[in-house]
Amino acid sequence: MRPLLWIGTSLVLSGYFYGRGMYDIRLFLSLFEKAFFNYYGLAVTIIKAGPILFCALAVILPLRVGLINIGGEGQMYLGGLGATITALNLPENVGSFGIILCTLIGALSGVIYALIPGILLVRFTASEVLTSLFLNYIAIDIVSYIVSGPLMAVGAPYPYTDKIPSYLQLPKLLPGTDAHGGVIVAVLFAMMVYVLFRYSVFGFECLSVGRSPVASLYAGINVTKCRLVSLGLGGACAGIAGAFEVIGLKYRLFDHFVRGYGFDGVVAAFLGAGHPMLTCLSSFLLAAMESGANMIQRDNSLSIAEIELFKGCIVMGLGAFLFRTRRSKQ
Amino acid sequence: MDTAIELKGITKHYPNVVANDNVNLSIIRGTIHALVGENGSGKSTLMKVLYGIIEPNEGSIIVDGIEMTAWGPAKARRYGIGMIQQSVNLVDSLSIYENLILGTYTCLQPIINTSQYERIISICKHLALDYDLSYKVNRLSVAMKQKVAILKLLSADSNILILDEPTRTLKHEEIEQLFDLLRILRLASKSIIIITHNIYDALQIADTITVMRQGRIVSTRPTCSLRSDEILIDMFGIDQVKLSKPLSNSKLATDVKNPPLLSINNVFLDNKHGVHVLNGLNLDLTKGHITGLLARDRLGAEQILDLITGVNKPLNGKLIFNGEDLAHISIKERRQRFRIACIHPNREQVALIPLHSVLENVILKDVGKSPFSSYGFLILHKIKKIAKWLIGKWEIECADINQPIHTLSGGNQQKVVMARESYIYPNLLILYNPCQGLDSRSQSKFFDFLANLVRSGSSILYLSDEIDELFECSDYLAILESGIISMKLNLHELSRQEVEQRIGYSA
Repeated sequence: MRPLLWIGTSLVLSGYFYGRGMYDIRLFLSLFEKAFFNYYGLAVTIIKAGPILFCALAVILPLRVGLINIGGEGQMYLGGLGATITALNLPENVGSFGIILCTLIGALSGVIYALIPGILLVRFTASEVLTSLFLNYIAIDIVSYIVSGPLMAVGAPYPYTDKIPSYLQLPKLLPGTDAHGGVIVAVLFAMMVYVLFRYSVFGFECLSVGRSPVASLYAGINVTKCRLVSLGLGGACAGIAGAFEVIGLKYRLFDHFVRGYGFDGVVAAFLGAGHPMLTCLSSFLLAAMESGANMIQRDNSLSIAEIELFKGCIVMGLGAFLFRTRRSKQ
Repeated sequence: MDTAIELKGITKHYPNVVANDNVNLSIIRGTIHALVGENGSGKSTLMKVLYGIIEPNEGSIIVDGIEMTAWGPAKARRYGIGMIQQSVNLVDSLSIYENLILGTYTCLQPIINTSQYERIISICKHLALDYDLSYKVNRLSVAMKQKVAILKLLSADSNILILDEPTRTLKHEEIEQLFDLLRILRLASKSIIIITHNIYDALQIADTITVMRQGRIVSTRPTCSLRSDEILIDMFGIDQVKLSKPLSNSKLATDVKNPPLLSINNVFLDNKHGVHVLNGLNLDLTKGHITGLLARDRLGAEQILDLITGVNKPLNGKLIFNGEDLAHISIKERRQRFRIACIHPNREQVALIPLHSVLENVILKDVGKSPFSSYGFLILHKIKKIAKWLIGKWEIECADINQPIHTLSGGNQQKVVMARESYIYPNLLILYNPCQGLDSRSQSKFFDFLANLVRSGSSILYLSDEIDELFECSDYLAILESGIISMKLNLHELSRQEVEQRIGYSA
């Protein structure tokens, strides 16, 4: 049934583009050409790939122990908030060491926020899917309140904070664009996660817990610790993503300062089948689809909504695929 | 007398095994008939034939003088035959009433049928069962579920009730209640067949007892003139009742005064349903001995395992290992520092992780220490080397060490568990049905390993549901009954027959 659904969506999709007179491989090639080989397109791809990859890592770390963290968005908001508060309160003489400090506080905020569903899970067996999802909206509202109240810049026309000082801003990757170095850190993190999964005792224990919590308990593995630590590490990744959005791109916190990276991260994580290196690829793919779509919608009559349709079909197909594998495991 | 069912010449072959060999049996209306025998004696197969789950190779069944012409549970139900399996089949999320009517209506009928409801209420009244029919089944105890299952058969107008091991998971007072219910049904001229391997239950409730051995009926006799040892002789055969030869028989007499390696003192524990399964358990395990533990009703055996490995904490009481209190020692530490190993009976869900590879399952419990890892990182080449060595040593047949373990046969999976648990050379090894799925060669190899372990001074606690395995290798036989050790026998001093009698008379 489910594979049929996946094939069906693909057929509907291609039929749609065919009807629009655009069933042409060149369209998709030009999308990726614009996203990777055009200087400004590449800059947008890099800007988007960093947070998507961080948020995807926030999903695949808990996924290893069998938990689904939908709260990347909220953890990112809190990370951004933590970094902003740190950046605005640091004394001037810290210099660029402050960047590391802001990142760490951002990560810590993400950890704390991710541990809320974790503790609710281990203490009260509350579904982490639901609690982490709902906490997203709370986080967005917390940031809304803070930027329109306590931290609102004096004389600002709409809710935003003061600009953070230039020595706390992340270095640029591509001169003349907004692309910052965050994406390199993200890829490094993905590599570290790969090593953690492949070569560490903790990674092995997490995999065991994910595959059979009962057998892991009898094997002497601390199931609660594995769950909390991997959720916390995931929260740290999302928190860093939020911090980098502030200190790398926006330079100030404002209402709804990011939109949807947390959810893109979920998509990227499942597209990459939970594998850190594949997730790198899928994050860049998703980022490229968005940036390339921006570029080609001017040249063709293909709208951003149609690119979104394309993305949506991939997500739905994968959802169908995911459910099939989960069932067969039971 | 009025014959309700007659089984004529039932024969059922499996490849290499004859489960039923020309069995003739008649059941009298309005009586309780017990079918006893060892595991594998063919009693369950016979009843599955009667209920239509298994089609026999030969033979016929005559119900009320009419020969059954087609097989299948649906047909059997039409002839008024109903069966309750060992694990009662009810839908947990539905209410009692919904379970009772499940399968009795068609989609065009309204589900709430007043006449049907009143009929069920009247059956309940007749049986003195005051159940709230809107109660969800998942909130009932095992004993209550069983009664609901009986109620379901009665509401479907069954005249012949087959109960497979009905007393297996029940407590004493629940067994009494069940038997009372069966006596009421007997008065209502229902015929009841009970399959059991507990002869004392059979003696208590049945009017007639049929003993089966190796697929044949040995005897069918009225209960009033029977003694338990007569049944035992029928069950095991005269030639089987003889002195057993335990494995380690050397220094037993002198070692008795040794301080115990592990002593369990006055331990109380509930299972996850809140049933008291251990009620002040006392058990000492001495070095260099195998203690067999027979769990009569299977209750409490897994909990003893959980207690010693540290998965469960006792509600009350203490565990002392080599003079040290185990209360605050973690599962990992018990394995790595005290070298307590355990073979859990639930292979698929507890002992192994089915999606893990053979290699990953071998290192599962010891991955955190050398030589498998250092500073938190795996040393892959050493892991591979040790895993390959263990696979060779235990003759585990697998194409590749990275093959998922669920693709191996059951016996090979069990060998992986044994390899892992033997790797630490345990001081204390707890086994619960360790030989499931093993062929006799691997089994004797495993017993050799146990003998070596015992000779080097380790202690082994061998839990089993089968008395035969325990006879084969234990020094002591302890009987777990109602959450306590009801007796501990020295197998070197008693013959098998004596032991069986003693166990019997204690019940």
